[in-house]
Amino acid sequence: MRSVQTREEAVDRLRSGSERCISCLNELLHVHFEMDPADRVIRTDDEEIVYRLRKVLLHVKAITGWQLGTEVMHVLAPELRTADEQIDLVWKKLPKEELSAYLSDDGKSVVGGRDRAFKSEKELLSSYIHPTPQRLGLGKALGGLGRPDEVHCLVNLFVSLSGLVFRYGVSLGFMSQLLNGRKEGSIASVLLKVTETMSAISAADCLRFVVSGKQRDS
Amino acid sequence: MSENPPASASLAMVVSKYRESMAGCLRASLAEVNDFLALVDFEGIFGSIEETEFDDDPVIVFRKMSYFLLAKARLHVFAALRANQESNIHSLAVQTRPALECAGQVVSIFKDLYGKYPGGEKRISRYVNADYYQTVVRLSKGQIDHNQILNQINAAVPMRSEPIRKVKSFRESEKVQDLEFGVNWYDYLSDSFFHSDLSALKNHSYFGGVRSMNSMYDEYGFAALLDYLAHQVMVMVMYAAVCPDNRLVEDKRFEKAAELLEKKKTVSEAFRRKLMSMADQSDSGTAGSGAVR
Repeated sequence: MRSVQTREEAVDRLRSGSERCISCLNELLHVHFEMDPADRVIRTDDEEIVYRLRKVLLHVKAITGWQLGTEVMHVLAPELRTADEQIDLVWKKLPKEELSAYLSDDGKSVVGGRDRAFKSEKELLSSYIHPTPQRLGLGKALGGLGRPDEVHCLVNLFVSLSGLVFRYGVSLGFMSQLLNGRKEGSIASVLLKVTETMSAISAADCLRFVVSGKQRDS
Repeated sequence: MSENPPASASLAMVVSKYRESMAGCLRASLAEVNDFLALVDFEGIFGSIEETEFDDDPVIVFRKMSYFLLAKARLHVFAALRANQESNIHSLAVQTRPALECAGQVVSIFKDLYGKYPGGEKRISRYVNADYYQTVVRLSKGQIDHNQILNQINAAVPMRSEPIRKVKSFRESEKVQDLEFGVNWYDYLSDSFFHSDLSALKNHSYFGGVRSMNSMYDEYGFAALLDYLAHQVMVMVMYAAVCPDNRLVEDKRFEKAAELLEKKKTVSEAFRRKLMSMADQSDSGTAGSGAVR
């Protein structure tokens, strides 16, 4: 992966990466609708996963409707956090052997340290969901309403959206097996796309271009 | 802004009109927030709120806090209206929660500052300090020892009348305790739409379920949520507008918000009365085609 050379390049890469995540989410929504239409009779043995993912679908639908920008995290955060809460509970139902494909050798962290990343993502989202005056006085990338640092805002957006595509995709793959829906192929292709997008953009690399508050104000 | 319930209509139609009317009220409250913020110097106030500022002039701190909270609420109210348009009650509910936290904090701060209860100013001062400490702790992401953070904060502003102390993070429902039924609504939104246990998910959407999306119960769910949110946003604007800022006073922001709230109360009471009487008739078997499904 070629490292990012300029701030403009970081903005471009992150923006197009986030847009690709939105298009992946739309593809997953399409697969989800086909697999589990609203009028389908739900069997009791898989009802928890199906109901929880139906709720996730509603929040993902809301997420994909927004135009991406520096302020959008404020309205995306409650949807992302609620969808993640449900996906968390779905993942608890996943058999270990299913998850093993996404676990590293120590069996603890999900691919690429996503487990740890997810914890800090939760922390990030909660700063947008539970407003306090001090928090709101900060910049937009930190849960506030002050001047945005575009790169930092887009890093937040990209990390949150790519995480959601990945987790929602894996959950749908599992549901597809349960429902014998033969949709694993479509889901795998979306997961491949998001993995490619994630490996093409290093958030840490882009964060080099985040301007400190003092520099920005001067 | 809104209309009264139709004199002769099915129960389903009245519920649908109630929803439409409350969406109108929420749109009006959003316009009120926009007008309010257009009058204030919003860009010039960013940065942390220091307790020393509070010692100098508590009113300025109240203004700053209110403007921040109104601006944040505005984003979520806009998203809530959009969710209503898309008929996505789950999205409406999760956007309502932060908007209520904003409204609750404006009302609490106002009550402490201008209320008759003793120690109000002290409470705000403690709140400002606790919020400051918590924000710095969260920003440090566990990389810096909390005692070190505390020492540095207190050393940076040695003139504080009261040093910042270690505090636990706020309980979210405490932020809404000064709103009418605030804690009940907040808990309902959290339990039904955020944590959502399986029994909630299997229920009607009003209870956080995904079983149905178009029934009359769902319509009522939208109407009730919009009703409560519109009410609290108007209350928030009213409290924020009492703050003595000349432009707000000249523009009669308080009077306008109060008038809007009165109108909204009249309309929603009329709808609720109408729905109650229709439901009673339905129970006694006389409501005909509009019976609750």
